[in-house]
Amino acid sequence: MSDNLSLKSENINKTKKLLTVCIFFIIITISIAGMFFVSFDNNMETMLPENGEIIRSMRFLRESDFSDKIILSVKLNDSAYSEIDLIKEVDRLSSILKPSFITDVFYSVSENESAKDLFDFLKYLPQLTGKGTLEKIDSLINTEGIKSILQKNYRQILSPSGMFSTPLIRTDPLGLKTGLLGKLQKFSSSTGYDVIINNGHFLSRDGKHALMILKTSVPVSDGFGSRKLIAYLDKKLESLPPYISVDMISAHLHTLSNEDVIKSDIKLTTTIASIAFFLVFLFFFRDIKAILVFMIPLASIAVAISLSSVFLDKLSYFIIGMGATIAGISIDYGIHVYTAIRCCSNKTDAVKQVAKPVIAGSLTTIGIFAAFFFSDVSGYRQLALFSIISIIFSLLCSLYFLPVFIERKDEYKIKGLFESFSIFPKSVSEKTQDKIWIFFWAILMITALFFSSKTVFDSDIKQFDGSNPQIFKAEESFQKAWGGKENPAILVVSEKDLEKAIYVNELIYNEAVKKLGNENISSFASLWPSEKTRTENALRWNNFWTKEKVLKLRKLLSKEGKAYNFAENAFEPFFEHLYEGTDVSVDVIKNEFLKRIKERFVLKNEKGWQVITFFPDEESYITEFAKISKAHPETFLVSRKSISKALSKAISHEIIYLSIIAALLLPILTMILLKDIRLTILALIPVFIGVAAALGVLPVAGLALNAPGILAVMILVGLCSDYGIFMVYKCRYGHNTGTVTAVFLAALTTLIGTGVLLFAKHPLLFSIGITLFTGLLAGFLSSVIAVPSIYRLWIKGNKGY
Amino acid sequence: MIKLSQIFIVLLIILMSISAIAQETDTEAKNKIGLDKVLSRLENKMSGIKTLKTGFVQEKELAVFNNKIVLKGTVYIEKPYRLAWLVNKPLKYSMVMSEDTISQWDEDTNKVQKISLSKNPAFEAVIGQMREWFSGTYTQLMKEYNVILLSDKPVSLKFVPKPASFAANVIKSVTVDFRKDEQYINKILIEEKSGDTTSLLFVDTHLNIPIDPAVWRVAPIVR
Repeated sequence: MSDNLSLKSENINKTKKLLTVCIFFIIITISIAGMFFVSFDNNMETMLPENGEIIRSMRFLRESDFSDKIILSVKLNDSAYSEIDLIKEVDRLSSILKPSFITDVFYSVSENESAKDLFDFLKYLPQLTGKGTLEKIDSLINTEGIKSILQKNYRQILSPSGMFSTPLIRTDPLGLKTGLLGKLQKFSSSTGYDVIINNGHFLSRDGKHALMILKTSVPVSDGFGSRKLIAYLDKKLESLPPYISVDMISAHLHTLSNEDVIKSDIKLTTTIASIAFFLVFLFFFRDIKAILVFMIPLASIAVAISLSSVFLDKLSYFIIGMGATIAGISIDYGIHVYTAIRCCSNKTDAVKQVAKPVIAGSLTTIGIFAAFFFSDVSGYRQLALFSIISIIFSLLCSLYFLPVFIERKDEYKIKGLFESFSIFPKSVSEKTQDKIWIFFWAILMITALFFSSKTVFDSDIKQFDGSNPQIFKAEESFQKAWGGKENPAILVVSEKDLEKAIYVNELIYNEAVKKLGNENISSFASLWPSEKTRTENALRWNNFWTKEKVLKLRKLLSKEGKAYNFAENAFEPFFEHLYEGTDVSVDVIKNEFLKRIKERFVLKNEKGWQVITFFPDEESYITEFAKISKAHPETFLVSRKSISKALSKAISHEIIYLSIIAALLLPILTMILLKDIRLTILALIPVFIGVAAALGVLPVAGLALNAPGILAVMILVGLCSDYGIFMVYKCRYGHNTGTVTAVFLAALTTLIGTGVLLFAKHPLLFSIGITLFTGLLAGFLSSVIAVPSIYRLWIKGNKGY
Repeated sequence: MIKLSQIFIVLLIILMSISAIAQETDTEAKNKIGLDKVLSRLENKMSGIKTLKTGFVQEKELAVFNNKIVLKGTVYIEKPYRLAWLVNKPLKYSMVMSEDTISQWDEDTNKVQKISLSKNPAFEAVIGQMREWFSGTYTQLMKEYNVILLSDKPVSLKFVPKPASFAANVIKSVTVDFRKDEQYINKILIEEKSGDTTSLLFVDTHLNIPIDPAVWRVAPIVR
């Protein structure tokens, strides 16, 4: 009868096991299949706070065509060759750069043509002269005024540069065009580069560098296209003679280099990690079924990806990357269950005993990631969902799936190695050992706290640029040759209609000039106002230059000009062309000069037109422009400094907010699970030291805390709280489930996973690696050393130690 | 027979034209070699000049004026960058050029105007030419001008701006006559496209003499 019952129970157990395995296999298979239908995206906006200003600015900088240009600084390396040789090579290079990769090469201007274009542009003076200027002119059309004008012109004509200015003076004795030329002067000097035009080419002041601006159809975001483009350019540059070298400045290079550095980092770290994991497997597990432990995170990632996509439209690659790291935490649950089964005499008891701390640990970790649901950053909310799903699935796998396959084996000897490990001789009492450990732990804690107080937060996006040093070197060399000012701030007027955009831009420019002066503001409006204003100006001009006024001016110039030897017809060209350029309907954009300037200030996108104004990225300018922009809803400001500040502010706010939630949730959850305030404090000791050490190592390594670093700290909190909880359970209940061994193996695998990042060249991976590795090491050591010692000295009724 | 004579004539014409082309090319090449030699000789001699002080008489025949204007003054040069242009008659005017700045003063306004060359590329282009003419860096000028050797002894060169150059807008040609000893320029004649002409005669030229530092200071006169 009992045999029958036992057989029946065994059969039921077998069916249950089979069912469990089937369910898990079905879930995993469906998830893997589901992954092929998930939409992914690599938009970094997901990782930005939902602050309209920041997102709009970042979008503008990404979408505007500034980043789709490549600048070549062609350098003459051998003094045996001259500027003429340099120019020859630039001409040759430009002739071999063709579409589809390079759509335009801007490397020279015909000085003669440019001058003609410029003078042709000056023809439109009537449209560009405002009421104020005409009033000023009116006040000069009298004997004294004309005398002073003629004196000035006389001096100018006799000066060394008179040969070039005489034709202009003859067409413009009143100096109206001079004002316009002054504005143009500002445009050419506000390019940010110290360029001189020599023989029609853009040369550096020392004559050893030539500048070429290439326009490409390949967007920076197109990694594949960028690789082809750079390979194309490299091949073309190979044809240059040895005395010529080129510094290439391009956002494409950064994208590719970062990709290459990350790929090479992944190769290196994966190789190191594989070898390390193989060694761990060889020395500690020696069981083919242990592979299942390592398979749990992979399965949970597949489930998390598929299930998350049910709730989310698109999944960010970045989130999957971070989520995969978080899923790595869940390997710990499998290790605990695996170790417990192999250490315990009864499998069911082992699973039951280890289930409590495993569930407690996973719940606290879930609690921390649940705090991310309160975040303002949509990416963090995605991360919370992804992490929680993967942790829950890992937990279920560890408790229900794994035990089906794992059996107790006698040869699992490592338990003894860790459970009774001590560096002290037997003569030293346990109490003395505990006091010594607590002393060292206190020193470690104080040191970590001291250095962590020096940690600074860095929100600069540039820190994540892990491009090859050669690229930075080329940029440095470029700055040296061409100067290059700080990036200006930008005010963007966005409208569907171009004319409307130009008009609003003009209104803003006029307001800004009233408050800030026109010295540092570079606006298209200062050169080319809206059609409305130009029509008004042209009409006013025609009304101003009445026959009487023209006659009066003629007489005055003739009479007063005699004293300076001016000929009767000296200024006839002025009167001949007086009413020229009053027709606003003429398409002046055919003027190459205006076209080039317009390209810089007027951008077209799928939504319409954007007219931009440049000004210094300084507090005073930003404040005033922000006020003006507020009154025009169709405008916005783009300031790299402001973005950085706003990001820093938003992320700091985010950190404080999430930290408070996590700081509240973690002790509350731990308290609920452990039901004892002292045990709760004890369980959190590894968290405190782990975080302090992680933050403390940053200033020592010359690094700053950044947004990914914050995420790393959150992961750290989850891991260290697990170690603390496991050790407290071990101390409190004294279960024989090989807890120290499991914590050691869990920490070892995670330390390998994070430690390999210390070999990474990419600054982002390295900073995450150093934060996690140091924090984990400190958290692990304090959990296996400090927690039991403090428990024994502080809490009576110790059962385990 | 007629046909043969016709062929003979055609052949003769072809041979003659080939010979003419060859002669022309030969002359051009010879001229080029001669010009290169002269320019290199001039540059060599003028490169020895570290400082220079010379009087000048400038005659401007411009359509804008009724009569020819004659200016008299002094030019100072200290290589590599300094140049002072001081006019005494018929008006008082001074212009001092350093590496990146130009300071101008005139009697009428008694004000000093400073201009940054890097911020005024157009002005820099104009003044840059002046510096090149006076300092004798003619190979630099060859980027913008075609040069014709008018006479070898004394050297006389004619510079015609290349069509795409900045100068081509205004200048028709610049003729530079050198002194017999080829140490410095004797006369510059500028012919403009408008028909205006400017001649510059250098007199009382002193090479490599110490220059009073006060020359380089431009300040308003306290009246």
